[in-house]
Amino acid sequence: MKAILFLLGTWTTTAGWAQQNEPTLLKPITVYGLPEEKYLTGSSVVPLDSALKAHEHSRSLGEILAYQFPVYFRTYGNGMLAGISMRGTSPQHTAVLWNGININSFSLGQADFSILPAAALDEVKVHEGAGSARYGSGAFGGSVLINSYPSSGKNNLTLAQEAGSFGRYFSSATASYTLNRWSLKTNIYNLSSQNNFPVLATGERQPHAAFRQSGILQDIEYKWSESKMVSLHYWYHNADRDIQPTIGQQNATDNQQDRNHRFSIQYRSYSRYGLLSLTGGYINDVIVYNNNPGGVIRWVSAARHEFVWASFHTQVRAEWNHIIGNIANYQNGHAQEDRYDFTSSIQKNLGERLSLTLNLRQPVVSRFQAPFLPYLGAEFMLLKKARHEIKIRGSLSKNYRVPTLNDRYWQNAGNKNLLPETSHAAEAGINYRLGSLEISNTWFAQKVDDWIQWVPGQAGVYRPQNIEQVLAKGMEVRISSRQKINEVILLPSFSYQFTQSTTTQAPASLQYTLGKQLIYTPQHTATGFVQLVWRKFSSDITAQYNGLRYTDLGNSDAYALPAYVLFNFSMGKFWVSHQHRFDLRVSIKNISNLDYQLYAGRAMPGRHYNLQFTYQLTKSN
Amino acid sequence: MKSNFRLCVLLAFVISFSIVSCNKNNDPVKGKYQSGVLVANQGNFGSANGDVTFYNPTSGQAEQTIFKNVNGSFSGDVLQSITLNGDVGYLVLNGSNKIKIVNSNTFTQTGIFTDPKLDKPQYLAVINGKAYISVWGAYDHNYNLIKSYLLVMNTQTLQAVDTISTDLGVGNLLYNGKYLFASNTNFGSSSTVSVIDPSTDKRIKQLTLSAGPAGMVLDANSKLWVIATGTYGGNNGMLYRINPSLFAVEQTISLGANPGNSLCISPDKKTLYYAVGNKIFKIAFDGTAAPTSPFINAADVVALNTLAVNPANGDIYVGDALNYSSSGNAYIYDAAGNKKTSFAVGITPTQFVFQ
Repeated sequence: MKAILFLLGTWTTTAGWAQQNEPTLLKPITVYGLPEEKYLTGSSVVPLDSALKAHEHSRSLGEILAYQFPVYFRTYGNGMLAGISMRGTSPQHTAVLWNGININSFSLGQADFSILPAAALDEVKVHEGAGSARYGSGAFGGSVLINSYPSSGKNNLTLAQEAGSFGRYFSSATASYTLNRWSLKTNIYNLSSQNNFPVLATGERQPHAAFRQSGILQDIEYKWSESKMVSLHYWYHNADRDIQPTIGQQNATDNQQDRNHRFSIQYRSYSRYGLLSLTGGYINDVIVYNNNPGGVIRWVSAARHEFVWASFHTQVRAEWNHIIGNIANYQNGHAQEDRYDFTSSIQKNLGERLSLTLNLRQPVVSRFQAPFLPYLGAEFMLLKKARHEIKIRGSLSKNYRVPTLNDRYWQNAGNKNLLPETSHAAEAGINYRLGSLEISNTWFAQKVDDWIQWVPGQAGVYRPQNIEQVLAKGMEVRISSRQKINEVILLPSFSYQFTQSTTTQAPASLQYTLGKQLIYTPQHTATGFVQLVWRKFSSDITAQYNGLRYTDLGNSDAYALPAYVLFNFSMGKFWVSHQHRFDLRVSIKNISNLDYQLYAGRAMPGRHYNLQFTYQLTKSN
Repeated sequence: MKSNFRLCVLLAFVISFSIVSCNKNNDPVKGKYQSGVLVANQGNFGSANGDVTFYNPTSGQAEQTIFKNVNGSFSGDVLQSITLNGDVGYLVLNGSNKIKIVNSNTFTQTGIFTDPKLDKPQYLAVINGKAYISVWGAYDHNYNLIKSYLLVMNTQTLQAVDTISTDLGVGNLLYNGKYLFASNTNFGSSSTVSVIDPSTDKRIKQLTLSAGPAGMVLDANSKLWVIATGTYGGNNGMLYRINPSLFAVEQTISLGANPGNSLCISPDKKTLYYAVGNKIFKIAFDGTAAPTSPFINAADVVALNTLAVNPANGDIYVGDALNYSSSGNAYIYDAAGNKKTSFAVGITPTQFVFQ
């Protein structure tokens, strides 16, 4: 316990204000060592707004993040596959970590954000920018960090029920229970939708797009003592979707089922030598496409030690991933490999104003010499007064992405000797605070070499090759505030990003792509939301804007998707009686009934509605 | 300055009037697209952006996405082919499982044909008020093609009236005035050409050739030529000359390569053209062996996806799909093999239609 308090004491003084714009973070959480963002000095780790997340309880991260972060999702229809694009990179360039374990699909390389439901995620943080040295393969554009928190120290039962347009129903139940040394939490959820929304372009109902998603989470934590504990997390998610066909397509039959088992067990121990944690993980991702199953199993083990030596906060970590791909299209239907990662992270404060971090990673992957990955970050407090702060920050990093299993093992196309993609990234920014008004401005540039592209060769057969260089550069502005006017609390937030992500080197057959913006990568992206709280009422308006998106490598205007802006509105009230709390909320999505597409040819619904009812029973221990 | 302007206006008026009156006298204006080259562009598979490029060989101007320009949205997913029949155009949408019917002069949509049996349609031929649509068909759960067939549609009622079974992977269609020939390619796994008698809508014969029968033409002697693309990487493509009355193979020419699907013929119907990669070969209709060197080495072309000959002047049109997901290019060579010009087309040009 002493160790915890000590660590708490050192970071609150320097890191506290970074979170002040997020009132939601003030809820009590257990801190084991330095918070994640302290090891990424120079860039930002921003949590998802928990109030908005609660309002979108039945939605996926793919439907939520684009209203809070300047990111783009190429979404293949309503409730369908959603790949993220952060800072001008492609969906394979964002790493999603669940309790520290990468849960991107190892066969495709990307995470499908449409099957990451908010209902299953206790805490979501987004690290924008390159961070491979800390988060491993694929963390070019950013990383999405998902963590489970077994207990809040209270016994709690939450029941939620939603009903929405197009036959959409959602139910969930969460129970958490703490008894002596045990903390238990169980969460089950079920979402189904007929998803037969009217297609605005044709006036016909969308055929063949019904889906169902359900899952269960179990968290168990056992504390031997104040300094020793074991926690276990299990998450099973099952999605069954009729694949939404293109606009106007008849006779569609494709169906996809995703079954994801995710299991992690962690042992933590504090001593005067530091904080030791040992993690074991098992991830089993199965995709059944038109009744053909294919899957990747991973066994993960990791050991981490965190300690303070001469005021250097230090983490050393070793991780082993054993990966088994069972996919019919691989040679012999099978692929297997081992990956090792050795990392260390060091954080140091120099005086009151300067903070430095260094992250180092050496991956070991079969068949190529993996690069050594450093991340160097610094923050300097230029001005620090009670109501007035100015901070400058910057980072430099080298990053990499291992080719996917498909890139390496696909029959008659995959290449086991593909090189990893590597990137060099730099960013610099300034944070300004005046009272509760916070403004941050970040400039970034990242050069990705050996960018892998599947290109047609003989007889039109596509093969992956390390052929391109991409330069992604841009600028981002974030503004947020918290205003209290009499009894009304106003929480406005705004973000804007300008990104030029262009091909800078390409082989002879792709010369026409040089200098062209990557597909589905808008140059202009903006988000904004305003939350209003008055007594037991609350209301919010959220908006996302994306500029023109090219859908072909040559940047033809004929095929580009036009810019759009979407608005959602929700309004709710809660009632409290003793230990009982009731919440009722009404939402209107796509208020302006806009016809828009996130992926070419896939319809998205016009104006629609949702009704949410939540009951919470809380009993203090 | 002012008088110059007036003169220009007057001149422009006179010129345009004379053009209009000229057209009125000889060839009534039926629509913007009544005369020129139509290019079917598949679009990106799964993105429903298949559309048509219109090229005017006289002016050298190309207009992209004409279906969208006229009707407000792309024609659909994977525009596989266009068939013209008088003033009616049929757009065969392989991904959308639809046939869109347009006025071929204005490209205004006039109808849609859908049917539960219309699963991955390929090509369409109109014979005596009936449209014969080659239908690739459904796959089973192990990705084996179950059955392919021709779906027969009444062009007046736009209703399916019959199905005629073929071999697996039916594609190109050719009507010689008596029989309808349908080549069964199935990526080189089928080796046959089905023969249909349109007077009875029955399959009367199935000719066995070799792997991957694709493009077909009729020569000056009314003989049927079929190109077979061979098996993947097998360099065993073939050309067949067939007597279309006796259904007998009269000439077999081994190409020693895997050619593309396209087979075309000169306006006098005495020279055939085919492509291997981006090399274009020609062979006389009385030839007996494959040429050893190409007629045109289309070095600018990255991915030759389709080849056609303008029946009006013998110009050779080449569609370059680049990487199959970017707007492509078309190149024009004259009958002597000299490059004339090029123009931009849409994503994955797959067929040239001359009207």
